[in-house]
Amino acid sequence: MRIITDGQPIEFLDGESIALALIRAGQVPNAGGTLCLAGDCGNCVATVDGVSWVRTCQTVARPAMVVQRHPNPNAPSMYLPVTSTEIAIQHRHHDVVVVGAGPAGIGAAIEQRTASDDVVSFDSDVSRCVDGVEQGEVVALYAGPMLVVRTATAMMHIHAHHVVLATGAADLLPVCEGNQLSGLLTAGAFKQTTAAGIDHGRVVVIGAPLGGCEYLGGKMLRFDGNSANRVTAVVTDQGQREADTVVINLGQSPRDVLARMATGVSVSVVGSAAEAYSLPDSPIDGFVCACSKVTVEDLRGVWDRGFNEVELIKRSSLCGTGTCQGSACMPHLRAFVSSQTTDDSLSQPFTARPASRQITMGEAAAGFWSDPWKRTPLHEEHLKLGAKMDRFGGWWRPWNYGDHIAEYWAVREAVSLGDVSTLGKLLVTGPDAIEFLERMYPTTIADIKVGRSRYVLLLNERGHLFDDGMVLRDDDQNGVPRFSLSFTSGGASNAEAWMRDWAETWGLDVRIMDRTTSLAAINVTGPLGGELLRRCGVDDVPRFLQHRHLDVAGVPCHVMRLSFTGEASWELHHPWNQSVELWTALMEAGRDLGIKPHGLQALFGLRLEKGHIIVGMDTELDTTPRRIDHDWAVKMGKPFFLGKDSLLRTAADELVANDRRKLVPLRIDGAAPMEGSPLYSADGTLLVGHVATSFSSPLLGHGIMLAMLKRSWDPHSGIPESYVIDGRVAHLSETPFYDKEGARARA
Amino acid sequence: MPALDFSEIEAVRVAALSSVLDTAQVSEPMIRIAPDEALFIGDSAPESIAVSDPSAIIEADNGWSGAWLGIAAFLQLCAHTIDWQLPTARPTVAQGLIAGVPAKVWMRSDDDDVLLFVQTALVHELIERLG
Repeated sequence: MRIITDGQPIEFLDGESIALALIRAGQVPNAGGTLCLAGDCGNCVATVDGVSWVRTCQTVARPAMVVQRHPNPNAPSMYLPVTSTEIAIQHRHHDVVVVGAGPAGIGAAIEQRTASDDVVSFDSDVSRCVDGVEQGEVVALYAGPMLVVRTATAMMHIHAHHVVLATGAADLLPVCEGNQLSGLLTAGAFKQTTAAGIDHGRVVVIGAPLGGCEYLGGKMLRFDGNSANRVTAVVTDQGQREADTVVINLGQSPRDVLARMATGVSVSVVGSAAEAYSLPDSPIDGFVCACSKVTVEDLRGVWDRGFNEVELIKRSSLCGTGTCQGSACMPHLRAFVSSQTTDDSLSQPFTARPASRQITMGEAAAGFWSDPWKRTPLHEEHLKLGAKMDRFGGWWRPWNYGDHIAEYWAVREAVSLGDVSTLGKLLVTGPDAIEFLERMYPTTIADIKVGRSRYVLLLNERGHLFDDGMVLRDDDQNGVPRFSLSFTSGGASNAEAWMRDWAETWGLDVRIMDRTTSLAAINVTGPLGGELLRRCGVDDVPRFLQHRHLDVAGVPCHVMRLSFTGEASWELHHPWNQSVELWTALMEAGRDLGIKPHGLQALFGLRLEKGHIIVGMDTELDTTPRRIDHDWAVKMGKPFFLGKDSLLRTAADELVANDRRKLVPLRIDGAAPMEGSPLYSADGTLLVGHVATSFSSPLLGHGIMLAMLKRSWDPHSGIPESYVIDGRVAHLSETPFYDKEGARARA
Repeated sequence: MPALDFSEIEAVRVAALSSVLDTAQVSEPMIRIAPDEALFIGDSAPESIAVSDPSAIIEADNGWSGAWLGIAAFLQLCAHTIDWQLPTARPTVAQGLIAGVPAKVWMRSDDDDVLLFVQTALVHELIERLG
């Protein structure tokens, strides 16, 4: 059986790792560095079957595997061809998970089973996977605790009540000049390779003697090598020995990377992973961190600049930030700091971050799902009508039906339907409902009469606008006031949580029910909208800002007379499962009226002609009502509403006089500029803001927009009259751009 | 893979004082989706709720779709996509993300059947993700 390494076939024995196969063939997986063959050092990484940074000592060779050794300086290309492999995810729940199946792990598992019948053990070494021990490499430990385990077939997320770490100890690596040569093995790696029948030529052991091998005592000084980057000799303060292979027998340190991820997590560490260890001699030269290629000289450099702590050295030099998260370099880094200071607190190990091994993007993404997108009950109807669907505010919505200008004119001249099922909808009632809503909204609520409605802003404690909508007062219920609230499509979830949180915080006696996905809604809009409703059985259509519960074409609806388009409009809120029935009846009844559905593209233009804002498009995270000229929707005379205190503070004359943030209406000859276009001063030299939303108005015959002024203009001199956008002159205008008296919406 | 056949759930949704829902004597199955909210499968909710809490909101709600599955089929379809632990008590309501879609699971006390239900607006996502 053969693997293909750098284009050449190499024999391997059944069950052995890629690294062993390479060493047997006289090669090394990487450019150099001491090999531990235990998954700790990171010096055996190579590209395997297109996946880079694979630890070849932990990867069992299979026929025809393609291995590409990482060339000096042993970093692979970061631009390998993408192989999109979906990695399966398995979620499991256990009482106790034991990581490691060495003697300490086996003992811990036996002990845990006396108290629980739900104990599982994992080990990355397949030879240890007997008696129920599962093969898997634990690469991350999160709060929960939750372990991420890589197996041959999937990633597993193991949720446990308790985790026992029996991860053992790792051989110390040498840090001195020449430690990036090949031909260096830890004692563990030497035993492993010798057992596999590999001949290492002349072997010299340093550190502590190893039975049967030539030994050189003394403090390690350097390794000498040849032009092939292969070790030829080792030098200590007691002498020099020529060697084909140098075995480093410096002792061990706890394999503690998972333990260092476990701060505050229900984890116990047992066996040699928990044992205290003596720090090695402070390094003098050579690479300390093989992953991030940090040398002793680098450590001195950051130390001299004041980074006098293990944690600070990590952050400034990147030592220990590689994928082994300090497994190999931590003892030497700590030894370095200890040699510089007597304060032990400065040399304590740093926290490790997941993952402790190189994992692929597919493995990292396993088990994570993109956000789901909702569909309205009319989704299929839109597709039948040729709608181009787009994602907006958490929903699939019609962008247009092929001709947004025709849709626009249907609204302005005839009648049109819009699917507004996506709007947020809440019911609020209870003895304290009025008090609650008075606190929530800057608008007066108590004087809204039954059957009437009011436009409202939703402000946070800082007085910043984060949603808007309508408040409709329904018939009282058992003498208790009841309201229907609407919110923007994208803001509904936040608004609901906001309402519930404050109701609970204030302890007010209210009931709240979210009806967003229980009720569908169709907007009937256009000058012939009233006629369409009459044809569908509504004899007395509600007037502007009125609402009633009526049957429309036999479907029970909450009919709300509003207007976002600037024309007479009625929102018909109705049961989700009767939406297709209602849509079909309306379309049929309006056939000879020129009825068309309209999508968001037309709607955005229609509302812009009226100067209506869209929260999130025409506003920013810190937009106050004053900055968008919506002070009229804020009643500062109310005793309290959320955001009032902040508005009072920011309403100080000086702050207002110096505030450059302002949403302004502009007009421009010809087509409207793209949304987001930069806005320059009239002389074209200063960037003063950007276009928030824009539309080429068919009716007005020119471009209109709302633009956010931000900087470089003098608020004491008033809002500038002219600007430059895309090399063209735009002029300050007024809203609404269309039907300034609002006669059409009220018709 | 077991078939996943969703259909609309006829239900009544109630928002009421949690103390009233805690003590409600109901013959109909009550699916408690929040301390102050419950779904009743069918076309009515117990009258006692409105009596005990005159401010309770009681509304027909057909915005949900559900599929009945045997527990084994449910686990085969969903278990690998759920990162929360299914409760062992019966009857019970569990809710959380299934394949990234907010979903609810109702397990009755008298058999091994499970009602997997979601907002109808999200049924297409769940079906697609569970394959």
